[in-house]
Amino acid sequence: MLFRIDPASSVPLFDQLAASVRAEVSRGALRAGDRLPAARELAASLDINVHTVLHAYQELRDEGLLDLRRGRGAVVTANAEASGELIAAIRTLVIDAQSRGVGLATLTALLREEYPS
Amino acid sequence: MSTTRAIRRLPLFVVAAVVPVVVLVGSLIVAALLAAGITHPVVVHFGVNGNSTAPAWTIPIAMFGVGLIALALGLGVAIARPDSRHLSFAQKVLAVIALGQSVLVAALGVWLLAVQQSADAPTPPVLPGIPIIVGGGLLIAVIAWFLLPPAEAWGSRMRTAEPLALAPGERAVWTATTRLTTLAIVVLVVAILLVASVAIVVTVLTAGATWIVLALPVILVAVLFSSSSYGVRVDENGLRVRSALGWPVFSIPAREVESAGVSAIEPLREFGGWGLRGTPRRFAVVTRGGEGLEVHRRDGRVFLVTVDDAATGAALLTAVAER
Repeated sequence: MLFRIDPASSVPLFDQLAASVRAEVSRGALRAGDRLPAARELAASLDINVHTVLHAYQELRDEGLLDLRRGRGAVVTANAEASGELIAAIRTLVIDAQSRGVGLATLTALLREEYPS
Repeated sequence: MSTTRAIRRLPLFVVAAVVPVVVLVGSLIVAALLAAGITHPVVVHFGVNGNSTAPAWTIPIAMFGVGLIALALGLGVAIARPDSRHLSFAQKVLAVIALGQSVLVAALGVWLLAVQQSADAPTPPVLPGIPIIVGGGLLIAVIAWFLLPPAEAWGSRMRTAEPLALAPGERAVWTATTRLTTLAIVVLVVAILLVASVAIVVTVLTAGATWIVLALPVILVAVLFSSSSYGVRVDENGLRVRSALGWPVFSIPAREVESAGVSAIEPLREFGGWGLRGTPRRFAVVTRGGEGLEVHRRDGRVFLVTVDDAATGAALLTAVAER
């Protein structure tokens, strides 16, 4: 799996890391049961603070993408694979909307209409 | 096309099949003639606890049995990959083993019978001949190696990766895990069980004092565990492949990377099996067949590791090497 961070970006580092994991899940490079690298090792490779990595992992756990267990590390959940498919579907939707000249506001409004409250 | 193919394969056929057949058949005839003239028991086994004897005809029989194994190996190698114009490294190794084993069996059998023609000598002068015969077998195998055409150059099959687009100052790391395929584990476990059972039999027969023999299965188990799973990582520093146990570790610094890419790896054909394979010039960590990450170093050496999503790893390695 590929993690990338750009310290020059305005997006917080932990957010960039979480986005990397989401992207890898939607690309199919990460599957349910796969283990993410140990936080300390990943932090050393990217030359960032270990707490930044842990922050990203906790964020992904709260989203239901990761299972964090002491001694087992961070494991991708079955839920993550399903949401990966959803992300892929949303990407297709966005490309479709753009090709039809439908703006973000209209698309969100359409989505809200379809979603039963 | 087919004629050039046949001509290229002729040396392999001679080394792996024709010479072994001639040597074994010839030696069997000689051994049978020699054995027919011997009525006393001959020494067939030389152990630390003394020599054991058997009727003379057991030697040609044993030669036939062991020779068949060598012939099966040689013929298998000679007829394998009929579509290829080149020899693989593994093919050459197996061919010279088949030849060396045939020569060894033939010479040993004839020699054992030849020095025990008369029943007078209580301890026949057999032992001095054995190192010469073993050395001769090895020498013939080495000579055959150089007579065979050079092994196929596999390096050209790599698809070189385009560097991953990284913004200036952007950092990236790619990690993957590669595990030994079930087939390889089965083969290794069977080998361990065989060695363990032989070790137990030897220990029982010789009443202990064979801890070296008993250590072998333990070493094999350690090898199985240390090579069953590897973590592969590419970051600013370059490539690192590390066993799940922490050892062995293989590292290639980014500045030593000439190019990286993806190649299809065939464990048996290309490397003759799984595990840590190849030569210092072309070294591979082989856990399964299929796609792998291939790295060409500046000094000309090549490193391969079988791993999923190798394209991403190769793209990142190319990018950090160019920085």
